[in-house]
Parts: sequence; C-alpha cells; structure tokens
Amino acid sequence: MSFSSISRRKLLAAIAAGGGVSRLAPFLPRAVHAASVPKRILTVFSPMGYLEPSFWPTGTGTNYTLGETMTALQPWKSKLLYLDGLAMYGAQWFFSNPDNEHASGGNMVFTGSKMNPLAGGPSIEQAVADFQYAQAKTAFRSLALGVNSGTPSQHTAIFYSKAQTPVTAQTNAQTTFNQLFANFTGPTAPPSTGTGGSGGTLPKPPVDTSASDRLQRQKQSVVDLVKDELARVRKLAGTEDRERMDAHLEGINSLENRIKLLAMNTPPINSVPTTPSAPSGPIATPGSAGAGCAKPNLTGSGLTGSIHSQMDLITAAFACDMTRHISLQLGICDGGIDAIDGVGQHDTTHAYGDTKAAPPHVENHKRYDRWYADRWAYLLGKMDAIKEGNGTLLDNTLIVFGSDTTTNHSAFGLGPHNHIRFPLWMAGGGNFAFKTGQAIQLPHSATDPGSPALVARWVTHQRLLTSIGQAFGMNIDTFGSNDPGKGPVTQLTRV
Amino acid sequence: MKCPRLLSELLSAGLLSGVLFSGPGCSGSIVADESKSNTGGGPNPGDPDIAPPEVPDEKTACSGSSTVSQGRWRRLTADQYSNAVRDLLGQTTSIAGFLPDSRTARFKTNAAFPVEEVDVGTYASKAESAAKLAVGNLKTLLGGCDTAGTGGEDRCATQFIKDFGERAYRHPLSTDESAALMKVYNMGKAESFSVGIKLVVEAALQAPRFLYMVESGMDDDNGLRKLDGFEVASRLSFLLTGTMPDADLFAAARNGVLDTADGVATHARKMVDSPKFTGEVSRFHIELIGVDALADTTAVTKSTTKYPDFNDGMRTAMADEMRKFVSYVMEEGSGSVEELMSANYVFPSGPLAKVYGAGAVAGADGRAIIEDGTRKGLLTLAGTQAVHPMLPTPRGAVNRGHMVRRDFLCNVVPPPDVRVEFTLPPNAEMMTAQELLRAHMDNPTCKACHSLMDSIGFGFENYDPLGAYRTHDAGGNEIDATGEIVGIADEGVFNNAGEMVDKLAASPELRECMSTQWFRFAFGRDPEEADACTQAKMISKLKEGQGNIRDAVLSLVQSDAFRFKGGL
Repeated sequence: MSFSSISRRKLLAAIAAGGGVSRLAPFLPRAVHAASVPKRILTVFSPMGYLEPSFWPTGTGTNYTLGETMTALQPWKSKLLYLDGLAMYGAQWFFSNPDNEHASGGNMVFTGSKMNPLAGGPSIEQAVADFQYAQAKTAFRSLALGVNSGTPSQHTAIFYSKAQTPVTAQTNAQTTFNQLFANFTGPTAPPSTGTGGSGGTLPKPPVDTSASDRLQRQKQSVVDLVKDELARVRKLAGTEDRERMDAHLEGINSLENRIKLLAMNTPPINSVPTTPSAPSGPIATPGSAGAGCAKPNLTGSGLTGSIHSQMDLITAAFACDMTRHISLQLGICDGGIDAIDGVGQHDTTHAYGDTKAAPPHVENHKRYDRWYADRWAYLLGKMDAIKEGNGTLLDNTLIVFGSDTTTNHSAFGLGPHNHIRFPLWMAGGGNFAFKTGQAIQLPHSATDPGSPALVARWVTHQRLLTSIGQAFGMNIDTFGSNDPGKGPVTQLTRV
Repeated sequence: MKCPRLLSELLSAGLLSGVLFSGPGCSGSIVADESKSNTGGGPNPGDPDIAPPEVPDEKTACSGSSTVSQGRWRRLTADQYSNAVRDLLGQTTSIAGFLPDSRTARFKTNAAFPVEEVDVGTYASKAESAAKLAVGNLKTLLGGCDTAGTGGEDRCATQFIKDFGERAYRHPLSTDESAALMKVYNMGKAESFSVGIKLVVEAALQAPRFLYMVESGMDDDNGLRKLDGFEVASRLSFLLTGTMPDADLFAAARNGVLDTADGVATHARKMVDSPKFTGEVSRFHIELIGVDALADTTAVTKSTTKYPDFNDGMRTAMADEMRKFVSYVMEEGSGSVEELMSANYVFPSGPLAKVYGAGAVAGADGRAIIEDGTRKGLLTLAGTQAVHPMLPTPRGAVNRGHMVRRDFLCNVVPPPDVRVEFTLPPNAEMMTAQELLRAHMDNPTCKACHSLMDSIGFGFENYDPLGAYRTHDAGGNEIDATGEIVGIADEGVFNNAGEMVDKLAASPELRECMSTQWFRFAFGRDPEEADACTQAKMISKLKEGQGNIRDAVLSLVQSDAFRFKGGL
C-alpha cells in the first residue's frame, strides 16, 4: 500500500470536519517494530466485585486454574495476572464513618486516594497519561468511556484527572465513534470477529501543499484566539474558575496538537519529521498505528451491546493509536448494571452472607460474575485478535480491572462487602509490564478482618498502583494521597 | 445522631433499588469486633435529622447587611449552547456529541468540574460546521452591509466583528477582543472575504465568553461586586428563556436599565410571560423529577417481557406529556405550585392512551380530565412513576417515597450502614409492598429512616412501573394504598396518592423546598447562609395563596444574590 499520494488537504479537511484525526490512522500503517509499539493502559471499573471464592483462581504461579465463574477467560489464561491478597486500606469498609464502603472504595480503587469529599488524587491511567503524553502526544491524551456511569458525584466518580476532579465518561458510543471515526476512510472491522482490517485502499488526489498549509494556518489562528481569550478571562476568574480555564486550555492544546499531527504527515509518510513544532513537548511519532487500525463496527444494542460497543471503540482507538490511556466505567458504586432480567445486581450481591445466604442468591451472584466474565472475554478477544509487532494489541496494553468492593462475607465475617482480598486484577501488557499467566498468592492474615495494624499484614493496593506506574517508567515509590506504604509489589515480575 | 448524606447521592442516581435491612441500620455506631458485626452490635438509632437547613423569616433574614457567595461561572449546558447558536445564527444545532452536563442536585448547570478534552474538540467541530453554514448566506449574516468598493469588505468585517462579537460574547468587545477577532479575519481573508468571516464565527463560538457565563462585576461600596448590565442580562436570559439575551435585553443592558432591581423586574416581567419561560419551567420539573433520564435506554429499564410497550416512543411520550402538563398550568392555568401538584388532568396522547386507559378522554386541547381522583398533579403522571424506580425491583415503593422526600421536601435521607445484609424472600414478587418491606419496621434502626420513605411510597402502589393505574399488584394482591406522611405541617395518614398529594401541596415545607430547588436551578449551587434573604423572599411568594411561580422567580431575579457576586 502506498502512502505517497495522500494530500494533506484531504487530511486537513478531515480534521476540519471532525475536529479529530479521523483520517490520520489509515495513512499511517507501517511496519510496527517492537521498540516503537506504544505502552497503553486501560482501566475498567465494574461495581460490586465478585463473589468469593468462586472468582479467585486456585493453584499458584503459572500452574493455576481459573475460578469457576471466570472460566470464560480460559483462552487468555496465559495473559492474565491475579494478585490474591490485596487490601484496599483506607477506604472505609470497617469503621463507622459518614460514607459507606461503596463510594469510598470506588473513589479509592484506581486513585489510591481517600474520598474527601471526592478522591484526593488522579487515577492511575490519568497519572500514566500525564507522564506519557508529556513525552509523546497522541491525538487524544485520554478517553473516558462508560455505560450507565452517570455524571460525577461522590457515588459515581471513579476516575480522576487530578484531586477532586473526576472525569466525565462518555456513555454514548456513537458519539465517541463520530469524534474518532466519522470521516475515516479506512477499512471497517467486521462486527464480531475483531480481526481488524488490513489497511484501506485510498484515493489518489493530487497533493496541494499550499492549500493545506493555508488551512493549517487558519486553524491555528482560531486556536490562538481561543488561547488568548482564555488568558484574558482567567484574570477575572476566582480560584475555582481559574482552574477550569486552565483545564479548557489543556483541551485547546490537545486540539492544536491534533492539527499539527495531521500537518506533519506530509507524504510520503515514511519520512518522519525530525523537528515537530509541537505546542509543548514532542509529538508522538506518527506511524505507530498498526495494520489492525480499522473503523469499529458498532452494532450492539441494549446493555450488553452498549458495553461491547465501547469495547470495540477502545480496541480501535488503541489500534489506531489515537490515545494510549482509556478508562471504562460500567455502572457506579453499588450498582447500575442490572444485566439479568428480574435479578437486581445490588440486591443479589447484598443478599450474600455466609450461613445466611440462600442458595438462589449465591447462584444469582455467580450468574452475575459469569456475565461479567463474558464481557471481559469479549474485550480480551477483540484486543488479542489484533497483531502488533511480535505480539498482539493485548500484549501491549495493560488492562487493570477494579471495583468498589468485593463480596467476601464468608471469608472474614464482615458485612457482605469490604475491601480485603480485593479483586484488582490484570490482563495483557505482557510485552512491557509484568509477567502474565500467573496467580500470585500474597501473604496475608487468614483471620484478621482488618484493623489499623492491617497495613503490616496485607499488601495494600497502592503497592500495585505503584508497580503499574513504574511499569510505564514513572519514577514513583508511592501512589495516591493516602498511601500507607512504599514501593511496588515485590512478588510481581517485571518483563 | 445525624445520619450521613450519601444515600441521597445513590438514590439520585436511582440505582439503589430499595434496601431491606436485617443487620445494623443506618445510624448505628459500629464496633470493630467480628463477633458483633453480623448481629447488629450496638446500633443506636436516633431520630434521623433529615430536614433541610431552616430559613429564617423574611424580616429576620433580610435585616443584616448583604453578603453574597462568589459562585462559579457556568458553562453553557448542551441545550443552552444549541439555543444560543440558534439565536446567533438562525441555525439548528444538535446537542448530540457533548458529554453529559454536570448537575447541581437534580439540575443540569455545568457549574462544577472542568470541561473535558473531547468536549473541547466537539466545540471546535460544531463551531466549524456552524460557521461554514452561516457564510453560506453571507449577506444575511452581514446584515446587508455593502461590501462593494475599496475597503468595503474590511469595513463590513469591522462592523460584523463589533455587532456579532458583542452578541456572541454577550458583552461589548474590548479593544483587545476586537483586535483578536480582526486578526483571525485577516488570516482567513488571505484566502477570501468569506473565509475571513467564517473564521470569525468559528473562533467566537469557541471563545470562553461564548461558552461560559463569565461574570466579573464591579467593586461595590458593600464589598460585593455588582454585576454589570450585560452580565445581569445573561443571567436573566438563560434563567428565564434558556438562551442568550435578545435585542431588547441587550439594549436594556447598554442603557443601564438593568443596573437597578426595578429595571431588572420590568424586563423580567415581560420575559416570564413568554413561551420560552414555560419551556424553562418544564425543564425545571423534568430534571427535578428525573424524567430526562427516560431518554437513556440503559439507565431506565423495565422488564421487557412484562412491559413490552416501554419503547422509545413511550419514553418520548412520557417526557412530552410532562412538558404539555407544565405548559398548560403555566399558560392556561394558574401558574402555581398548587396546580402543578394537584391538577386533575393528564395528556394521554399516542402510546400514553393505553397507559391512562379508556377513562382518559382527551378534549380538543389534548387534555383529559380525570374525575375519579386517580390522577393528581406531577407526582401521578405516568413519566414520574415510570422513572421511579429506574431499574426493575419489587421494592419501588422505597424509591418513590425517597423521591418525594428528596425532590419535593429537600430532605436528606442518610444511607444504610455498610454491613446491612438483606435477603429477598423467595416469593418476593408475590408479596404486597407492605409485606415485603415490613422488615424495615421490625428493626428500630431501619425504621428510623424507612418509616419516612416507605409509608409515602405505599401511596403510589396503585401505579404500575409504567404509571398505569391498577387495583391489584404484580402478585395479584389487592392494593392497599394507605400510608402516612410525617414531618410536614399537615402530616398524618392518607388513603391514597391523591390524599397524600393534597397534604404535600398544602404544606409549607414543600413551598420552602421549591425555593431551594429554584435557587439551585438559577445559580448552580446550593443556597448558603448568606442567601437567606433571597430565599426568604421567594418563600414568602411561594407560600402566598397557591404559590405563584412567576412571582417567586421575579423575587429571585431582584435579589442581591442575582445582581451581585462575592469578591474574588
């Protein structure tokens, strides 16, 4: 496939129409070398955790067997990573407090920070985004997607760009699709196989450099005006409004970056520019999108279909290197995903207690957990089907699954939900993060249901968040505003 | 013991489908002791303090010196954005593409949280397409300015920037602001005059003065900042008409008419008589009750086997009906809180005919008067019942009761204790609401909060999950809609929803709450102590007679809170 014939004007027309890089990606497929493959992170929230013990694998190390409700993940067993024995310390699951454990857990799971009144720090994918985007600017710094995730409040906020500032998730997959792919002329992925496309055949209009330069200058002049005006009104703003103007400016910088990204791709594509004039910091090396870059085919409807559509979008956005940082929020703390007709998720998970649990409730909880496993299998299947370098998209994407609570009443004699033996688990990322295909048993107290001395007896989840940051090259030793400890999870093996 | 606040958040999302306690309740002190954790060790139920902060009477509240909170700039909501583009350029813009607006309590206000990266991109693409469309009819856009002759184009551009810029920024342009737009024009003009004008429109629609209600004000003798006429014009216009100021209001701002409370009142009186105000009153109630959530097919669901009629058409019809209902009250009726709460008519058009049944026969105006007392005001409209609960649960009575407490009485019901465990009986579907929720009353800790909600919810048992009237519940049991409402002046038992609504409509607590809700709707923040006088004046209006909404809102716009802001 030749790229030498794509006019910049056409490219710029694409941004002009879509405000995005919708036509960037298909122009860029080129050999992806392992060294140039991006490191990506996807954080996934689902409410209520899972029912123990059917969630946890048995066995240790690579010699493990998936939990009975998670068997749908069997095909990707070698790409999963379980840490059995984490505790989310500091979220309120034990002490009487003005919150309940759901919201405090949801706020803390990816931020490592306590909720007061909202989480006191960014979530891990946003922290990684800050770090990576400063070095390489993709079209979008990050995407926040959701299904039934509401608008931010104490009980709905999971992912944060910084302290007290939750991100608002886009719940309409079609909208995100339009922002990313409306004018995309490349191939369309098949709806269900997820094998991706093989690059499109593109028209060959003549190159008109002067026109595209002019269009770029015009776009830039608009961006400049917005920046000037933001600076002007900022002087009139109070403290909080000043911060909001600053955030708006970041959004404008990102838009400016997209305009420059396109302008840089002067054909022939193989001549990567050496002196990109980025607004601030260098721009991501174009051309990192692989042949798997294809327009997603969003066909799903209903709750399951909405979730699958978001997963299709995530796969495509990563494959086309539109961003390297995405969060996916399913539901809110304590519910929002009533997937099984007549069996409310909230009721089901709260109905579980050890000796009190009636068999139908145990079975219903397992039905929910299996339903989630099927969703995760869909996601892993899509991502693993896209070849990239010497592996797959999944190998170059660390997926971190987390929740607001888990259901482990029987193990510790607490209420139905709490935050010990916490299911913060991972998939993918085997090319750059951790050795996968393992179930690691962390040392923890078998009887201690939690106490201020818990820190000494459990591995706190901030250790894992720290490990993840380090896997992306961040120079950190702690994560979150309330980290009670230091360092990574020592039992994890970095690759 | 004061109970914590979080359940309101949870239930406001509509996602806690009722709670059946059997463990420690919502106000107990929890001891970190395993042996007690399953047995409700040491709950100490007290009367939960759910009442909203008390507002002193008008005389007391308005006697001190005036103070006003600083507040925050509001970013236009998706609807306001679309309305403003319509008024500026005569175009229809879809709101699709924007992230959901952030809310103050139940209302979309965009007063909190920064804009997201993707929305800034959406602004850019929408501005680009709007500008492109606008210059398709350049002559109209330029107001007939004649571009012929030497320097004609630049002259028209200068005039356009001055006029259009002022309307887009909703403020006269400073020299710097004009110069910035002129620079953009010149960049485009290098290609063509039309492109120059296009870029001006494209840039202005992305400028913060268009996207935000930028409010600076001027120092005042009292240590407050007095909003200038243009800032007041924007506040008035967005509150009362949901869009940017019209020519009349801009003229008033320019002439200093809006610098006094009287001048504001003169204009506001005209504005509250417009259909646009009716539209905003509709939006207020639709958001207050949460009927806007009907549009989200995953957020509000029904069993597809039991309620196959609950499709997109039905969802739209329910929201439309509430609009028609509020419009009728505002334009044909008394425009009062009392009529909104207790009118005996519905609008059974389209799929709603089936929900309301054969007894609801619409007249020429689309209105069906329900003589048998089964429909009474906003609370018994099909849409209200259909969004509470949002997701299927046999215990919808809790959600419905909570909705009344939270939205109409401004109560803050605390969350249940974290370790509450409940088990639905296997035959839950066959039980009456009273049987199912009896456990709440058997446990003193649960009872403390649930007696406030469940017994209101029982009154709505006559309405099925689509809001259709029924005499027997899903389990085939005859419905007992008696209940009790406590904590309001006219508290006591009732036999059905109609009687309950009468109690609510007459209660001062509901009128006080409506003043709080209107305050949130207008300012995008909760009222604070400093706002006591503003609120007290509104409350006086709302308690007078039937509680005229126009009078209350007119009092609001003349207040210090509306015309001033706190210092930086």
